[in-house]
Amino acid sequence: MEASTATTAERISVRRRVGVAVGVLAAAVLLVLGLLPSFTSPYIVSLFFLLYMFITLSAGWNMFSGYTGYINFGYTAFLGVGAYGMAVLITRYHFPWIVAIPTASGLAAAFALIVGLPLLRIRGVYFAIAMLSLATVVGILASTRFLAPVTKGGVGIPMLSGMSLTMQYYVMGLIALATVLATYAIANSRFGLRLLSVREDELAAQVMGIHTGTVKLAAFALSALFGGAAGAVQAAFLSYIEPASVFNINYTVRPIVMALFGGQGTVFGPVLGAVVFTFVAEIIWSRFLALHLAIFGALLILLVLGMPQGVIPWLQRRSFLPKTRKL
Amino acid sequence: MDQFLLVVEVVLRGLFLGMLYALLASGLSMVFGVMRVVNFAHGEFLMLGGFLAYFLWSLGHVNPLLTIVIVMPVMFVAGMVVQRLLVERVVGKPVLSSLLLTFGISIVLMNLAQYFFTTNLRGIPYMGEPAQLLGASYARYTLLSFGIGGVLGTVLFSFLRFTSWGKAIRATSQNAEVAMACGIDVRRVRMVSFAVGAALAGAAGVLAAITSAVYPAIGSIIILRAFAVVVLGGLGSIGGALLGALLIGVAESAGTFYLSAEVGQIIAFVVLIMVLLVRPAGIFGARVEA
Amino acid sequence: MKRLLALVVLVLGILVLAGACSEAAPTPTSTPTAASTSTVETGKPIVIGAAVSQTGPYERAGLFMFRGYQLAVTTLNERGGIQERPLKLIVYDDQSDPATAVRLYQKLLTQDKVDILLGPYSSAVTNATAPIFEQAKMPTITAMGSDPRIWEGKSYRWTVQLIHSSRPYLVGSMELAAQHGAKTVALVYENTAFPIAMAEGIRDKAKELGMQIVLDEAYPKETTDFTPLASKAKAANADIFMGGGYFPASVGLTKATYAVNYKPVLMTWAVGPAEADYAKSVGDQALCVTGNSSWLPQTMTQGYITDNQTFVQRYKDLWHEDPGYHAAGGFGTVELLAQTLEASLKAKGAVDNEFIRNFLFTTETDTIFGHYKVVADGPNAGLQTGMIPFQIQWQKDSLGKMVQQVVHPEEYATAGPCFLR
Repeated sequence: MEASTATTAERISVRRRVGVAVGVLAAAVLLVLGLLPSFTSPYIVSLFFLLYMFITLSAGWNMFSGYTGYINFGYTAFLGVGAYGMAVLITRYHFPWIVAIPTASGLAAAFALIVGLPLLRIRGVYFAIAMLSLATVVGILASTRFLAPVTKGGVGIPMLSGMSLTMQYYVMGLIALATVLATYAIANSRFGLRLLSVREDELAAQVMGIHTGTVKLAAFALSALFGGAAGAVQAAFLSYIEPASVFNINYTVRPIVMALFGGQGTVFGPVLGAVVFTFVAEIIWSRFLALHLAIFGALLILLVLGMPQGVIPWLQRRSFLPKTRKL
Repeated sequence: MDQFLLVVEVVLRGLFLGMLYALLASGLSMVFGVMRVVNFAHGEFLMLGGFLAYFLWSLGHVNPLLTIVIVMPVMFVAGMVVQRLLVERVVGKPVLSSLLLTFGISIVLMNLAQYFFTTNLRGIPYMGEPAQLLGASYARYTLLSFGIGGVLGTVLFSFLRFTSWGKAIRATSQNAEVAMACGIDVRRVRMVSFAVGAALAGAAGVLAAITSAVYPAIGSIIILRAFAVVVLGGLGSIGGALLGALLIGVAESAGTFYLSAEVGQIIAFVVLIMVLLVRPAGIFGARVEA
Repeated sequence: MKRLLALVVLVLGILVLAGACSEAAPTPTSTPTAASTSTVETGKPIVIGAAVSQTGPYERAGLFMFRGYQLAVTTLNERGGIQERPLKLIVYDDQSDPATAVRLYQKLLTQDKVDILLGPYSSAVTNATAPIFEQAKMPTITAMGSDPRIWEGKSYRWTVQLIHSSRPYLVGSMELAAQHGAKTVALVYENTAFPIAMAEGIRDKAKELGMQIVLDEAYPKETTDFTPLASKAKAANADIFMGGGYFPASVGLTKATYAVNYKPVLMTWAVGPAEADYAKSVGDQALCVTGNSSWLPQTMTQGYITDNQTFVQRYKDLWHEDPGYHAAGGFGTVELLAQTLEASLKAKGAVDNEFIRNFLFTTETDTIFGHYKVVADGPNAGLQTGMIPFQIQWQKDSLGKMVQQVVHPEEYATAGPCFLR
């Protein structure tokens, strides 16, 4: 009896020490990343900018699809709406960027609310295809005369956001951090539990009195908010946007692959995936030139067949990492 | 009268276009029916079929029409290999697994095609002369490809309806477990269905090379339209896919002619989303659980 | 567990293997013809950086432009470089993606610390990278950004255009058709940046020639079936059926025109007819179709490095195929750069950005690619105005074989124009 209490206490103290170590490490990483622009070249800064964008997209996608199991195969639509929102607000209404970014993100979330209301009734593979079609339609629409008064059609919108690269870096970094923190908060809330219940058995969740419709819609809009924010800052980075460069299936598939690699429905899975894929891509892709897409495809195939759960759940199952809660 | 003939012309052009989509969509739908997999790489089978036909014609001097006889068996075998080695492994797995797996296959095939065949356009000039039909003229190859599509469609239908393989496919499509219990080797059924789908897509590729041209990225462009068609008809329903294909073809043709090319390109997707809103599993589709 | 391990080993194995292969196989940057291997030992090298699409949708055109860069730099180095300073070329692949190109130019400027830049391929990528050149105050010649909007109203100080703008792309063919009595135009074009600008040029020219535009329609880049558009043009009974966008559309539109049995006086498409593959894909239907060609192998242009004939010959010797205008544009870009570098080294003894900038914006000169003259200042500064595009047409020679002829402008014409009716 006594022995077992001792072990428990010991365990708690070990845990605390590990916690402190992780905390210190995280603080150090954040400090280095925070000071990064002051001691590296703009190229490295822009590489980390890219990393933050993919962390945001991957975690943002995961926030809805990873937890609810509804596969959003048109996530780039939100990025595109955010990017166009940013460009229009800045060039036409002369918003300062600090106002334009949250407004554009809000537009993406509002867009998600409007389309999500009807579309979230569709399930399974039909939902995935409906979202893919939605992203295709919005991309084409942005280039047509129906939306040209706003989007300038295929001509595209050149813009000067007034953000320096360093500023873009910090803003994207903060957005990525916010996305991860939001995911963490969701994962540990009743809201997160409800999302999981949608994934495991939507009907049972309804029977238990969960308004699954509202829950899904809220997560969908939140996921769009972050996707839109990433799009808005990406527009500033590009300084010229046209439909093809922001409504791009790469912005849907890459984040999904990252989330899948790290582990969907986990807090840090998408982060891990984004880190690995961004840097590996940068190092490997540059060596393969003509065949880098085929290599990406082959990795994707191996990933799906070999580790469909993702790295983090794999480590959790083997108790290398603490287990997260499940239904 | 002139107006009426014009409507007839627009509808016919739509049906001709729809037949190409139908060849692609019926295979896609059948594959989904028996294995619940959405095949992103289906468009690449069309692309490969088109390239094969082009090279048979340009290097081997094979008559463009006869290339179908070679392309379809080759694509059948290719489909079998891809199914057994890769796609079979995600049967029964979550939606995302099959989507990403086939997406991966799709970009590998596209990139390899770019690498080996270059991004050049490959079109076969064949039977381009016009022929008269119901007061309008159509290129001979249009009528020809409609005919070939019709024949292949009929063969597919008879295959599914009257042969034991066809019955096995339909049974598996309706309920794989019961089919298995009845002694059907569902693994082989899945392989054959996938291979038949690939062969049909290959045939569509031959027609695409004749009626326009093929290039490595054509699969990834046309597959989106094929998805719209299949979902419209209801995933897993081959009759639905045929009907959906013709419907989308006519909508695209009429939309472009009477409204604008921009409307024509959007219309398939808008129709798709609308249909899903009213009937979340397509017109003839069975309800599928996530 | 075992299977998973096996898989991981497999992945690593493939990566290592592929890595080894990629090192063994010559990447375009390190082919024997690349400048870096043939550097002259005297003087500090002038380092030139560029991001060029070597994969993705622009890979082919990008590759050709890159070969033009390579050939020009190699030729210069064989002659001992510029003012005894050899040239070194650093080229990265932007994967046809504007965002990647932006990062690569940042890398070239700050990591590799290059002395001077060469532009990327395509209007879309140029549009996104021009602000980088401006910010860095780095004078940059962009070979293949034909969209005039990249410059118009921007008052750029550091970026100049080498290729002619896309507005006058097809107007030469309209002049020919007008002389033949054509009165109406059916215009269809892809709704992306470059064809939109081309359509504006067509509208202006129609007004000038007193022609009526009876169909004016943009189509999305996803379009694959062009028969309804051809039906519309036929219903409008236009004399000229023209426009298009990129290569697939030119083939699709030509085939569709015959499919609906529409016989305009003249068919003319932006990109495609200038390439040999076009006639291969459409066969005899190519007859009398015209198109734009920014550059031709047979013209007698003379640039800073060499003349057009020598360029064509050397290109053929190296790559065993005829150069197209992308390659010539790449070569011409380096010619212009070399001329400015020499002037700068002579006048200032160094690569002086301000000097080079002034030289580029005010000098009128020739490259093998054609005449060069840009707007010197004002809102449209940097826009190329000195170059006239050629119009080529597919005709049958005496043996009945399909060949390309130059039909416009008249002083370069190799044959009179032909018409379908």
